[in-house]
Amino acid sequence: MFPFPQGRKPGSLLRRATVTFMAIALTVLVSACSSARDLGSSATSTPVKGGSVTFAVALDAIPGSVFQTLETNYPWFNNVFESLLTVDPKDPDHPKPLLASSWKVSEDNLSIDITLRDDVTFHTGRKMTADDVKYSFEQAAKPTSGSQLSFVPKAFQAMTVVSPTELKISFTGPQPSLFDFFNQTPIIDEKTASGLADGTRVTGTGPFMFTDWKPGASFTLKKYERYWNAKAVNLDSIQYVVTTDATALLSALRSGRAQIAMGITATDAKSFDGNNQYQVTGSGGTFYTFGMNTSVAPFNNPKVRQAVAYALDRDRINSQVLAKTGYVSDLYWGAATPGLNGDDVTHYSYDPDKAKQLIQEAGAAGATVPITFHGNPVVKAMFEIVANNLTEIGLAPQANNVDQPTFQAQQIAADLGTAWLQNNGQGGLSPATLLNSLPVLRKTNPSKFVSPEYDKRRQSMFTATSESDKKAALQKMTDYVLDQVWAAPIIQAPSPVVASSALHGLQLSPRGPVVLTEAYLSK
Amino acid sequence: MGLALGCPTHQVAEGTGASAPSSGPLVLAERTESFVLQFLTRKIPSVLFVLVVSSIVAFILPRLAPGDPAVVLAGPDPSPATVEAIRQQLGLNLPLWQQYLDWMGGLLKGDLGQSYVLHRPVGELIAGRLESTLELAALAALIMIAVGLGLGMLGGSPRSRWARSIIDVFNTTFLAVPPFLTGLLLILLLGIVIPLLPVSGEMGFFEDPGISIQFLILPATALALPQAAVVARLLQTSMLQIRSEDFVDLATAKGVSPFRITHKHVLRNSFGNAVVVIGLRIGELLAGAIVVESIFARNGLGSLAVSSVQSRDYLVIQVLIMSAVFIAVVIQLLSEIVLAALDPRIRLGA
Amino acid sequence: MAREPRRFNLTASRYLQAFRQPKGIFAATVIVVLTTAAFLAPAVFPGGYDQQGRDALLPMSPEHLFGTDELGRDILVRSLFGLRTDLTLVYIAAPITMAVGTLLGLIGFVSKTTGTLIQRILDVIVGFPGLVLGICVVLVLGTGFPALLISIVVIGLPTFGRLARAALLSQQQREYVTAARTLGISRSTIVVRHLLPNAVDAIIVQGAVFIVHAVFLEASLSIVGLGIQPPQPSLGALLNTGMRYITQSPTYILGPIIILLLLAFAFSLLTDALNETVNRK
Repeated sequence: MFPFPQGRKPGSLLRRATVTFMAIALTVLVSACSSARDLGSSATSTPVKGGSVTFAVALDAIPGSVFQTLETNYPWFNNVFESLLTVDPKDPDHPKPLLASSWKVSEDNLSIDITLRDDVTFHTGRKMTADDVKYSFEQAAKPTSGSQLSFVPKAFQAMTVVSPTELKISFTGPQPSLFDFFNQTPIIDEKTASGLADGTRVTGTGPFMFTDWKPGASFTLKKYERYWNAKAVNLDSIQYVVTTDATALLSALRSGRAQIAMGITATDAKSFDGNNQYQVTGSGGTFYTFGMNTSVAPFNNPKVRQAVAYALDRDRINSQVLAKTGYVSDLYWGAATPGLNGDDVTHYSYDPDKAKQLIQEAGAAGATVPITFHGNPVVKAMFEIVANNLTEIGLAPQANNVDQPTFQAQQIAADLGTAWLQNNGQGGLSPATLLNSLPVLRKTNPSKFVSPEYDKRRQSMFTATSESDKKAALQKMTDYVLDQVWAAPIIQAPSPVVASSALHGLQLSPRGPVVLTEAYLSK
Repeated sequence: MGLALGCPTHQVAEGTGASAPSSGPLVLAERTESFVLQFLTRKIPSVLFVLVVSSIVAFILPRLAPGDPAVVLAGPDPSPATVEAIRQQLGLNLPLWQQYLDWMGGLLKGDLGQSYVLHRPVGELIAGRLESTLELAALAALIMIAVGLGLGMLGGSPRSRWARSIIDVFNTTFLAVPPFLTGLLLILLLGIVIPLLPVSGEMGFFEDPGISIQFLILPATALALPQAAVVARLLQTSMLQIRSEDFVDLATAKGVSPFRITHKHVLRNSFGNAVVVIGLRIGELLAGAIVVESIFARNGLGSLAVSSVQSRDYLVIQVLIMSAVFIAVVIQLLSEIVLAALDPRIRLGA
Repeated sequence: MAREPRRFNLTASRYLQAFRQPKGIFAATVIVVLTTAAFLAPAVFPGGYDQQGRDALLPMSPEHLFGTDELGRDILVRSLFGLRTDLTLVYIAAPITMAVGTLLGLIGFVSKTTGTLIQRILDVIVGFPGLVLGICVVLVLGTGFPALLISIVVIGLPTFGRLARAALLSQQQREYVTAARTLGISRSTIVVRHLLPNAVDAIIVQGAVFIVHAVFLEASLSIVGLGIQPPQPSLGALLNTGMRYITQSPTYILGPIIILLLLAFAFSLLTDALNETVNRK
């Protein structure tokens, strides 16, 4: 009926252009291998200078929320902004320097002296000094910053700029989350801070500059020539294309219009497995939990909560919802956390009979359980399995599907009802930090779980300084969380990242951000 | 109008409208000036009423939903204090009437306001998405006109019973199936079974017209077919009716060739109606774009509307709704004028 | 169009004649079969629509005619239960919408000011993009059956209100109405005995159109992610989820699509048949 253009897939022109571009890329530079997971860099390939990468993302950037850890910002954020140091979740006590060249915590654990690099400039060309660090920390402490870790800078007693490269911070008590805060908090430029909200001036110190933002559509990162470690940077630019639809994301990758994509569902990402033109991996970690209101029946009875924990078929959730990319765990802390007992991770393995029996014992059979959850497809599918599991053990689940803002408003008002499904993207933070930053673990949590015993064990987590004390405190906390289980962890899962195998040097971590500082395109 | 699914809800009305005298537009031209002016003056109060009530509803409705932009901006795990502080910053804690008057004051001065969530001028955000929707609507309009006139002329010309029933089946099919269903079928057929065209995504026309059109064909076709069927059916009925009139018989008696009769007499007299209907249908195309955009993952005004409702970006929703209401009011006025011109028994402004 | 005024004669037999033509017979058969299948589904499949299993996204097979979904449930079963959800919804929504809409349209004859006011309010509803209005209503009332029902009724009201109004306007200038007025017959009697019968044909025909549009509205709301609560299926919710697996399991959305197509055709033919029947008079 209509003249169809001959079967050429869109984007093949672009792909050819990119291939040509890559072919003429010249300089070769060997850079030090990073400690984070290093994707697809085979021993034979050598970094290529120049070139441009197209990054298809499902969610647009939110440059106004620099202090929040937002999944939507993972693809670009740490390429534009940098923090003082980086923490490897596997070795949280020994962070690696970034903008800070060194630091020293005082003997009494009540202050820290930080020394900064002296060669760092903002994208405006201005030199970064200790004043900027102080300013950034002050901003993070404000309630409007939205930082999940704002409780850390709020506990600072004083910040003293000793010299342009030296900052001294003192606190009233030990700060177990200090390095997590340093790791998560970007150093921003006070002079252009007002341009962050509308994204017109997004100034960091990182290898790339944030430009050309068309909200809802696209933005571009351009190489910053005066970056303090400019010789490590390979790419000239990274173009981010916002593609909210899962199928469109896939076709962008398949047609070669994009070399890397984030926001693909795990099941879609799985379709790239075994295809050597692509590399599939994950970044960040999202906690999925089943929250229960301990102030109302039936969840005021710990037996019912334990029954729920036994009833959840986590393996089926992992395979059907997350295409086996998830990590089944009954705990909030990552499996890599030092001092963790492996048995605790699988404490509540799937056991519907035991669960049923516990429900009988508690006399909760037939109790209706309204479950609130928001419209995210992954959470929705998870709900369907959870509801099925709960029906199986004799409870009567009901759906209360709301949209994201509604869920959040209810969460803030601590009004999520009897039970809810929740997801929090805070993978890779230390247990002591999570106790304050993860809503389900906070002292005032949506489960309304309060107990003097919990407070006591929290305190010993915060005050422990020696290696063995920390381990003991963590074990006591783990036992308590498992026994009381006011929110049953379901699964931890990374956000899938799919990239062309021509893209090398990608740095990912359980903390989330995708770092392209040293990335390059091979032929 | 009605459901705004882009599917003709007024099948019945269309059918009867078509049987009105065919020389509509000509009559209209003669009666137009004084009568339309009078009509419009009489309409001003009710148009204003509709616009004001719409603005109030557009303002209140999204605010009745739980959550607000401050909650969205506060990020994933905020504390109540964070949200309250952001609310203060955005001015969302002001009394509702004051927020409403601020907004209306701005609108009257031509200032559409600023997005709460993206901190950009609403006008700029809408302009950014306008291209996508306009491209879709433009191609859909072309397809609607081509298919609609084509099928209508085929159906209205002398044909065998057999040929006519095929055309009837086409018309019934297109009339019955809404754009999103056609869209899904096209995706399955031309995107998955025979992977000929991309099933989702888009590219600006001015970036690369060739590729842009490939992305556009499926959604535009899906959007256009139901409207094309309306146009076709109307043209067909109108042609068949004129064919039965005396002057055609006279021409036939005089020995004018059937082809000439169709072209010179029947078609010429039927086109007026078709043109009017096409004009009105273009409004429907825009309304139907929302679901089609969502199925084909196009970043147009429809997806902006849906996403701004979901992020409680009040001012963006308000402006989009008001624009839609404004367009609907204009189309309503036009159709009343046209219908009144066609059927003198309906008094304008009654 | 220029039908003579009739007494109120709403005997079903008049409309039943529509089912004597081939079109009507076909339409009625499809509608009856689909409706029966939908409402018998719980009896035929006592396991219900939420029988999950480990075999997810299976292709078509004799065991599972349309394959299984992402949680290992039979798609045919879910489609039938989904149809049941949709039909329950629209069979409740359509009569309410028709009755309330007609009433609102005819009020104008009893009180001119109220009538005009109502028309303007209907204009406001028409002006709102249907889906955006639906989304707002669903957000305010919360997702689920009642919210969907209300948004469908609200969005459908103007169609019937305007139809009734049009019948009113075309008739109220006629001599018989004026005559009835001079004879002192009350306005409400005139509405019931003379104006309503003149509107009723158009409204019945439009009702057939509306039923299928209500199904489509449900589907559209579900496609943008708001609709019936899971795990209860609806045709739209199935399409919404199925679209996510379109590359891995293209047959997923086939079941709901076929059912929707059948519904669309059947009601379109029914509309045609009814239209021809009422116009033959």
